[in-house]
Amino acid sequence: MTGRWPGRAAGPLSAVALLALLMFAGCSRAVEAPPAASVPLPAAVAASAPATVITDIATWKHPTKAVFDKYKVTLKAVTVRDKYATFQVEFPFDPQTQPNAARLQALCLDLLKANGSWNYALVSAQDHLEIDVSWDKAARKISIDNHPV
Amino acid sequence: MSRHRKHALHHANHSAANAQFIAQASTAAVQSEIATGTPAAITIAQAILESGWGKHHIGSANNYFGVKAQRKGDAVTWGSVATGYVDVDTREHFKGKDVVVSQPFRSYTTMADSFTDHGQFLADNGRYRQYLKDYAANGDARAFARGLQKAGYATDPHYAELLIGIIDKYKLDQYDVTRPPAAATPAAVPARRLP
Repeated sequence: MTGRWPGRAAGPLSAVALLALLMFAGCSRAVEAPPAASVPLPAAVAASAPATVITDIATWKHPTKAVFDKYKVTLKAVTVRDKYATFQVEFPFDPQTQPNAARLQALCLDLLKANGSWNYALVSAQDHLEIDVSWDKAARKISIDNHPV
Repeated sequence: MSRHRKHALHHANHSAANAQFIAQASTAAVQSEIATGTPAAITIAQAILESGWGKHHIGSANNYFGVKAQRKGDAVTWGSVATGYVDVDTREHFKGKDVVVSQPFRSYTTMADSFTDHGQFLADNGRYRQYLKDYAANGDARAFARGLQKAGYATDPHYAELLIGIIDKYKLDQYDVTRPPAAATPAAVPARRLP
């Protein structure tokens, strides 16, 4: 797994395309932003698409990993459903307090960039919390919402 | 008016405003401690830090601790103490362009409600449970401040010192409802018999 979410539709690859894909594997921005209208909602996604679960984080390669490292957030697993990633994480800080709000927001924005502007969720079992980050390209608006899990 | 006198007047006004804020906040913090067990001194010190002496509370939302509302899809909830929510937009730079970052925050009728909800957040949060238990047993608000830092309430490595400094400077522990157990007096210690 090298930066592209599993389950993406892929046609037959030519040798040149395959070589290009291999060359770009692990690059800093491996997934492109989808048009806002096609961004799937978490609830709709959860109900429909099959999931790919990545637990071998050590060997998994993706630009978001560097962001988690930067903020000292432990990534425990990634679940991908129809391009929507849910990151199971462990925060070294309480993600719900005011003194940590700026840090959390910076993390969310850096992750959104590293994730190619695809919407995603962070889930912290320790904090019983899910943080949904969504990007509305047309309105140039990023929403950061949380709810208990 | 001389510069020295202007400075003294500004300091006096500042002190008066701070004293007024502590007077208001202490009533709310005591209510919160009675309801949730969170030390009143800590709540006042946190309110001073997080709201800038009461100047920033998300306007009419009366939210002194930046407590968020929960949103899942179109449904928004705000717990049992708050009365609603407000969406707060901030401007950020994202991929070279100006964007709006939107987050929902709880709104309260009164300052006291905001303080009690904050106390309830700490009481319900597993990160702080042990430190609240310890405080209930030893009444030590300073130890609770260190516990908050250990539990990740703030990433600032000096956060506990900051809280304790405010508590000491303004003698905020006078508002704590939970008191440390009385120290053993010499009379209570049995006299040692000489051989």
